[in-house]
Amino acid sequence: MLFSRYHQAREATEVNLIPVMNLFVTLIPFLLLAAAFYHVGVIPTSLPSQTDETSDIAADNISVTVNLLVEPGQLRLSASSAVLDEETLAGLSLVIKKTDKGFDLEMLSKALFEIKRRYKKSDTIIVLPDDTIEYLDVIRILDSAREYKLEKDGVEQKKPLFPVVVLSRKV
Amino acid sequence: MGMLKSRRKIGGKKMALQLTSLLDMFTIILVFLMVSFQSADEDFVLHSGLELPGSSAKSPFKTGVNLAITLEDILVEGAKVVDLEAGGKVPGVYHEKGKIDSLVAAVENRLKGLKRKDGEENVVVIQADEKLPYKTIHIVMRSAAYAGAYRFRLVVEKE
Repeated sequence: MLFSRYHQAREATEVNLIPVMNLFVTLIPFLLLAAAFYHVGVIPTSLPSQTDETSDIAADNISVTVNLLVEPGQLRLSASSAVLDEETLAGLSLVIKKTDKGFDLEMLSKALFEIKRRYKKSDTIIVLPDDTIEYLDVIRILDSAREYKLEKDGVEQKKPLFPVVVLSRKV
Repeated sequence: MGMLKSRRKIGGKKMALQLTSLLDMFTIILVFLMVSFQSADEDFVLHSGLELPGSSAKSPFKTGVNLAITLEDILVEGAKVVDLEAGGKVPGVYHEKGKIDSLVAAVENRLKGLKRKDGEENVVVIQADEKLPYKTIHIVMRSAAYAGAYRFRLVVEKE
Protein backbone atom coordinates (compact mmCIF):
# COMPACT_ATOMS: atom_id res chain seq x y z
CA MET A 1 0.00 0.00 0.00
CA LEU A 2 2.73 2.33 1.08
CA PHE A 3 4.86 1.36 -1.91
CA SER A 4 2.05 2.03 -4.45
CA ARG A 5 1.43 5.55 -2.99
CA TYR A 6 5.14 6.33 -3.21
CA HIS A 7 5.21 5.08 -6.78
CA GLN A 8 2.17 7.27 -7.73
CA ALA A 9 3.78 10.36 -6.19
CA ARG A 10 6.99 9.74 -8.14
CA GLU A 11 5.12 9.45 -11.44
CA ALA A 12 3.13 12.66 -10.80
CA THR A 13 6.33 14.75 -10.45
CA GLU A 14 7.53 13.97 -13.98
CA VAL A 15 6.64 17.07 -16.03
CA ASN A 16 6.13 16.85 -19.75
CA LEU A 17 8.89 19.08 -21.11
CA ILE A 18 8.25 18.49 -24.81
CA PRO A 19 6.03 21.62 -25.35
CA VAL A 20 8.61 23.79 -23.56
CA MET A 21 11.32 22.33 -25.78
CA ASN A 22 9.23 23.10 -28.86
CA LEU A 23 8.85 26.71 -27.73
CA PHE A 24 12.59 27.05 -27.14
CA VAL A 25 13.45 25.54 -30.52
CA THR A 26 11.16 28.13 -32.19
CA LEU A 27 12.46 31.06 -30.13
CA ILE A 28 16.18 30.40 -30.53
CA PRO A 29 16.42 30.78 -34.36
CA PHE A 30 14.29 33.95 -34.16
CA LEU A 31 16.52 35.48 -31.47
CA LEU A 32 19.67 34.35 -33.31
CA LEU A 33 18.56 36.34 -36.36
CA ALA A 34 17.86 39.47 -34.31
CA ALA A 35 20.89 39.24 -32.02
CA ALA A 36 23.64 41.85 -32.23
CA PHE A 37 27.02 40.42 -31.31
CA TYR A 38 28.97 43.55 -32.26
CA HIS A 39 27.71 46.61 -30.42
CA VAL A 40 28.17 49.86 -32.29
CA GLY A 41 27.80 53.34 -30.84
CA VAL A 42 28.20 56.85 -32.20
CA ILE A 43 29.84 60.10 -31.10
CA PRO A 44 27.87 63.12 -32.31
CA THR A 45 30.09 65.90 -33.60
CA SER A 46 30.07 68.84 -35.98
CA LEU A 47 32.35 71.22 -37.80
CA PRO A 48 32.68 74.84 -36.67
CA SER A 49 30.32 77.16 -38.53
CA GLN A 50 30.02 80.93 -38.79
CA THR A 51 26.68 82.69 -38.35
CA ASP A 52 25.68 86.36 -38.43
CA GLU A 53 23.52 85.95 -35.33
CA THR A 54 24.70 87.34 -32.00
CA SER A 55 25.12 85.06 -28.99
CA ASP A 56 21.84 84.24 -27.22
CA ILE A 57 23.57 83.28 -23.95
CA ALA A 58 22.43 85.50 -21.08
CA ALA A 59 25.22 87.28 -19.20
CA ASP A 60 24.28 85.69 -15.88
CA ASN A 61 24.59 82.18 -17.33
CA ILE A 62 28.38 82.11 -17.32
CA SER A 63 29.68 79.39 -19.56
CA VAL A 64 32.99 78.79 -21.23
CA THR A 65 33.89 77.01 -24.43
CA VAL A 66 36.93 74.82 -24.00
CA ASN A 67 39.51 74.64 -26.79
CA LEU A 68 41.74 71.62 -26.82
CA LEU A 69 44.75 71.66 -29.09
CA VAL A 70 46.06 68.12 -29.65
CA GLU A 71 49.73 68.26 -30.60
CA PRO A 72 52.00 65.23 -31.12
CA GLY A 73 53.80 65.85 -27.80
CA GLN A 74 51.18 67.55 -25.63
CA LEU A 75 47.61 68.64 -25.03
CA ARG A 76 47.05 72.39 -24.83
CA LEU A 77 43.87 73.38 -22.98
CA SER A 78 42.40 76.89 -23.09
CA ALA A 79 38.99 78.48 -22.63
CA SER A 80 37.01 81.25 -24.29
CA SER A 81 33.93 83.08 -23.10
CA ALA A 82 31.88 86.14 -24.04
CA VAL A 83 31.47 87.08 -20.38
CA LEU A 84 34.73 86.30 -18.56
CA ASP A 85 37.79 88.56 -18.62
CA GLU A 86 41.13 87.51 -20.11
CA GLU A 87 42.84 87.03 -16.75
CA THR A 88 40.22 84.52 -15.56
CA LEU A 89 40.36 82.68 -18.87
CA ALA A 90 44.17 82.55 -18.72
CA GLY A 91 43.83 80.84 -15.34
CA LEU A 92 41.95 77.99 -17.02
CA SER A 93 44.74 77.30 -19.53
CA LEU A 94 46.85 74.20 -19.07
CA VAL A 95 49.49 72.22 -20.95
CA ILE A 96 49.52 68.44 -20.44
CA LYS A 97 52.71 66.77 -21.65
CA LYS A 98 52.55 63.38 -23.34
CA THR A 99 54.00 60.55 -21.25
CA ASP A 100 55.57 57.23 -22.30
CA LYS A 101 52.11 55.66 -22.06
CA GLY A 102 50.59 58.26 -24.40
CA PHE A 103 48.40 61.26 -23.66
CA ASP A 104 47.60 61.78 -19.96
CA LEU A 105 43.85 61.50 -20.35
CA GLU A 106 43.25 61.21 -16.61
CA MET A 107 44.80 64.61 -16.04
CA LEU A 108 42.79 66.02 -18.96
CA SER A 109 39.55 64.70 -17.42
CA LYS A 110 40.47 66.21 -14.04
CA ALA A 111 41.22 69.62 -15.58
CA LEU A 112 37.94 69.56 -17.54
CA PHE A 113 36.04 68.48 -14.41
CA GLU A 114 37.46 71.49 -12.56
CA ILE A 115 36.30 73.86 -15.35
CA LYS A 116 32.87 72.19 -15.39
CA ARG A 117 32.60 72.49 -11.57
CA ARG A 118 33.24 76.25 -11.77
CA TYR A 119 31.12 76.92 -14.86
CA LYS A 120 28.30 74.38 -14.76
CA LYS A 121 26.51 75.68 -17.86
CA SER A 122 29.51 74.88 -20.07
CA ASP A 123 28.99 71.94 -22.41
CA THR A 124 31.00 72.64 -25.57
CA ILE A 125 34.53 71.60 -26.39
CA ILE A 126 36.36 72.44 -29.61
CA VAL A 127 38.98 69.80 -30.36
CA LEU A 128 41.75 70.79 -32.76
CA PRO A 129 43.97 67.78 -33.47
CA ASP A 130 47.22 68.00 -35.38
CA ASP A 131 47.20 66.37 -38.86
CA THR A 132 49.42 63.50 -37.71
CA ILE A 133 47.30 62.45 -34.70
CA GLU A 134 45.75 58.98 -35.08
CA TYR A 135 41.95 58.73 -35.19
CA LEU A 136 42.00 56.32 -32.21
CA ASP A 137 43.73 58.97 -30.06
CA VAL A 138 41.10 61.54 -31.09
CA ILE A 139 38.30 59.15 -30.03
CA ARG A 140 40.01 58.48 -26.66
CA ILE A 141 40.38 62.23 -26.06
CA LEU A 142 36.68 62.74 -26.89
CA ASP A 143 35.79 59.97 -24.40
CA SER A 144 37.80 61.71 -21.67
CA ALA A 145 36.20 65.05 -22.49
CA ARG A 146 32.66 63.64 -22.41
CA GLU A 147 32.55 62.24 -18.89
CA TYR A 148 34.60 62.10 -15.71
CA LYS A 149 34.87 58.87 -13.74
CA LEU A 150 34.61 59.69 -10.06
CA GLU A 151 34.97 57.13 -7.27
CA LYS A 152 32.72 57.83 -4.28
CA ASP A 153 32.45 55.37 -1.35
CA GLY A 154 33.99 52.66 -3.51
CA VAL A 155 31.34 53.14 -6.21
CA GLU A 156 32.33 54.49 -9.63
CA GLN A 157 30.23 57.43 -10.77
CA LYS A 158 30.26 59.12 -14.15
CA LYS A 159 29.81 62.88 -14.26
CA PRO A 160 29.05 64.52 -17.63
CA LEU A 161 31.67 67.03 -18.77
CA PHE A 162 31.51 68.43 -22.30
CA PRO A 163 29.12 66.35 -24.44
CA VAL A 164 28.94 68.85 -27.32
CA VAL A 165 31.98 68.22 -29.51
CA VAL A 166 33.14 70.38 -32.38
CA LEU A 167 36.00 68.88 -34.38
CA SER A 168 38.25 71.29 -36.20
CA ARG A 169 41.83 71.28 -37.36
CA LYS A 170 44.99 72.86 -36.00
CA VAL A 171 46.14 75.42 -38.57
CA MET B 1 8.45 -6.34 -32.70
CA GLY B 2 10.12 -8.13 -29.87
CA MET B 3 13.21 -5.97 -30.50
CA LEU B 4 11.12 -2.75 -30.29
CA LYS B 5 9.60 -3.85 -27.04
CA SER B 6 12.98 -4.57 -25.58
CA ARG B 7 14.13 -1.04 -26.55
CA ARG B 8 11.18 0.63 -24.88
CA LYS B 9 11.28 -1.44 -21.76
CA ILE B 10 14.38 -2.47 -19.98
CA GLY B 11 13.87 -4.53 -16.89
CA GLY B 12 10.11 -3.82 -16.99
CA LYS B 13 10.68 0.00 -16.70
CA LYS B 14 9.44 2.52 -19.26
CA MET B 15 12.25 4.45 -20.93
CA ALA B 16 11.98 8.27 -21.07
CA LEU B 17 14.35 10.73 -22.71
CA GLN B 18 16.17 12.93 -20.14
CA LEU B 19 15.43 16.47 -21.35
CA THR B 20 16.29 18.38 -18.19
CA SER B 21 19.96 19.05 -19.03
CA LEU B 22 19.04 20.00 -22.62
CA LEU B 23 16.41 22.37 -21.28
CA ASP B 24 18.97 23.96 -18.94
CA MET B 25 21.26 24.58 -21.89
CA PHE B 26 18.42 26.06 -23.97
CA THR B 27 17.46 28.37 -21.09
CA ILE B 28 21.02 29.74 -20.90
CA ILE B 29 21.17 30.25 -24.68
CA LEU B 30 17.75 31.92 -24.62
CA VAL B 31 18.73 34.36 -21.87
CA PHE B 32 22.00 35.22 -23.69
CA LEU B 33 20.16 35.82 -26.98
CA MET B 34 17.48 37.91 -25.30
CA VAL B 35 20.20 40.16 -23.86
CA SER B 36 21.80 40.54 -27.32
CA PHE B 37 18.41 41.09 -28.98
CA GLN B 38 18.19 44.28 -31.04
CA SER B 39 14.73 45.21 -32.26
CA ALA B 40 15.62 48.38 -34.20
CA ASP B 41 16.35 47.75 -37.86
CA GLU B 42 19.08 50.24 -38.75
CA ASP B 43 19.92 51.03 -42.34
CA PHE B 44 23.61 50.61 -41.66
CA VAL B 45 26.17 48.13 -42.90
CA LEU B 46 29.48 47.84 -41.09
CA HIS B 47 32.42 47.78 -43.51
CA SER B 48 34.51 44.65 -43.09
CA GLY B 49 37.80 46.23 -44.20
CA LEU B 50 38.27 48.52 -41.23
CA GLU B 51 38.83 48.38 -37.50
CA LEU B 52 36.63 50.73 -35.50
CA PRO B 53 38.06 52.51 -32.44
CA GLY B 54 36.63 51.46 -29.09
CA SER B 55 34.72 54.03 -27.06
CA SER B 56 32.47 54.47 -24.03
CA ALA B 57 30.00 56.53 -26.12
CA LYS B 58 26.33 55.77 -25.47
CA SER B 59 24.58 58.11 -27.90
CA PRO B 60 21.70 56.57 -29.84
CA PHE B 61 22.30 55.60 -33.42
CA LYS B 62 20.87 57.95 -36.03
CA THR B 63 20.70 57.12 -39.70
CA GLY B 64 22.20 59.30 -42.39
CA VAL B 65 24.59 59.10 -45.32
CA ASN B 66 26.89 56.13 -44.66
CA LEU B 67 30.51 56.95 -45.27
CA ALA B 68 33.35 54.49 -44.73
CA ILE B 69 37.05 55.39 -44.64
CA THR B 70 39.40 52.42 -44.77
CA LEU B 71 43.19 52.54 -45.05
CA GLU B 72 42.82 52.08 -48.84
CA ASP B 73 39.75 54.00 -49.96
CA ILE B 74 36.71 56.14 -49.16
CA LEU B 75 33.26 54.69 -49.81
CA VAL B 76 29.82 56.32 -49.86
CA GLU B 77 27.00 53.82 -49.25
CA GLY B 78 29.40 51.00 -50.14
CA ALA B 79 30.53 52.49 -53.47
CA LYS B 80 34.18 53.45 -53.80
CA VAL B 81 34.68 57.17 -54.39
CA VAL B 82 38.38 57.85 -53.80
CA ASP B 83 41.54 55.74 -53.56
CA LEU B 84 43.84 56.64 -50.69
CA GLU B 85 47.63 56.58 -50.58
CA ALA B 86 49.65 54.35 -48.23
CA GLY B 87 48.73 54.80 -44.56
CA GLY B 88 45.28 56.12 -45.42
CA LYS B 89 46.54 59.49 -46.64
CA VAL B 90 44.43 61.58 -49.03
CA PRO B 91 46.39 62.66 -52.16
CA GLY B 92 47.91 66.10 -51.73
CA VAL B 93 45.95 67.62 -54.61
CA TYR B 94 42.74 67.39 -52.55
CA HIS B 95 44.33 69.13 -49.56
CA GLU B 96 45.30 72.03 -51.84
CA LYS B 97 41.65 72.31 -52.92
CA GLY B 98 40.38 71.81 -49.37
CA LYS B 99 37.84 69.21 -50.48
CA ILE B 100 37.42 65.99 -52.46
CA ASP B 101 35.20 66.82 -55.44
CA SER B 102 34.02 63.26 -56.14
CA LEU B 103 33.10 62.83 -52.48
CA VAL B 104 31.17 66.12 -52.42
CA ALA B 105 29.19 64.96 -55.50
CA ALA B 106 28.51 61.50 -54.04
CA VAL B 107 27.28 62.89 -50.69
CA GLU B 108 25.14 65.50 -52.48
CA ASN B 109 23.52 62.79 -54.61
CA ARG B 110 22.84 60.63 -51.57
CA LEU B 111 21.38 63.56 -49.59
CA LYS B 112 18.94 64.25 -52.44
CA GLY B 113 17.67 60.70 -52.21
CA LEU B 114 17.19 60.72 -48.43
CA LYS B 115 13.72 61.21 -46.99
CA ARG B 116 13.80 63.61 -44.07
CA LYS B 117 11.23 65.21 -41.80
CA ASP B 118 10.82 69.02 -41.83
CA GLY B 119 13.68 70.74 -40.05
CA GLU B 120 15.72 67.56 -39.78
CA GLU B 121 19.42 68.14 -40.36
CA ASN B 122 21.62 66.26 -42.81
CA VAL B 123 23.66 63.72 -40.92
CA VAL B 124 26.70 61.83 -42.14
CA VAL B 125 27.56 58.57 -40.37
CA ILE B 126 31.33 58.06 -40.55
CA GLN B 127 32.96 54.70 -39.91
CA ALA B 128 36.71 55.13 -40.04
CA ASP B 129 39.69 52.90 -39.31
CA GLU B 130 41.35 53.64 -35.97
CA LYS B 131 44.80 53.96 -37.58
CA LEU B 132 43.85 56.75 -39.97
CA PRO B 133 45.56 60.13 -39.57
CA TYR B 134 43.25 62.94 -38.45
CA LYS B 135 44.10 64.90 -41.63
CA THR B 136 42.13 62.34 -43.68
CA ILE B 137 39.12 62.41 -41.32
CA HIS B 138 39.04 66.20 -41.40
CA ILE B 139 39.10 66.57 -45.19
CA VAL B 140 36.31 63.98 -45.47
CA MET B 141 34.19 65.93 -42.95
CA ARG B 142 34.99 69.16 -44.75
CA SER B 143 33.93 67.67 -48.10
CA ALA B 144 30.65 66.45 -46.55
CA ALA B 145 30.09 69.97 -45.22
CA TYR B 146 30.55 71.33 -48.77
CA ALA B 147 27.77 68.92 -49.79
CA GLY B 148 25.47 70.39 -47.11
CA ALA B 149 25.95 68.01 -44.16
CA TYR B 150 27.28 69.66 -41.02
CA ARG B 151 26.33 67.03 -38.44
CA PHE B 152 28.41 63.89 -38.05
CA ARG B 153 28.13 60.64 -36.16
CA LEU B 154 31.48 58.93 -35.64
CA VAL B 155 30.83 55.19 -35.44
CA VAL B 156 32.70 53.44 -32.64
CA GLU B 157 32.79 49.98 -31.12
CA LYS B 158 31.10 50.06 -27.72
CA GLU B 159 33.42 49.04 -24.90
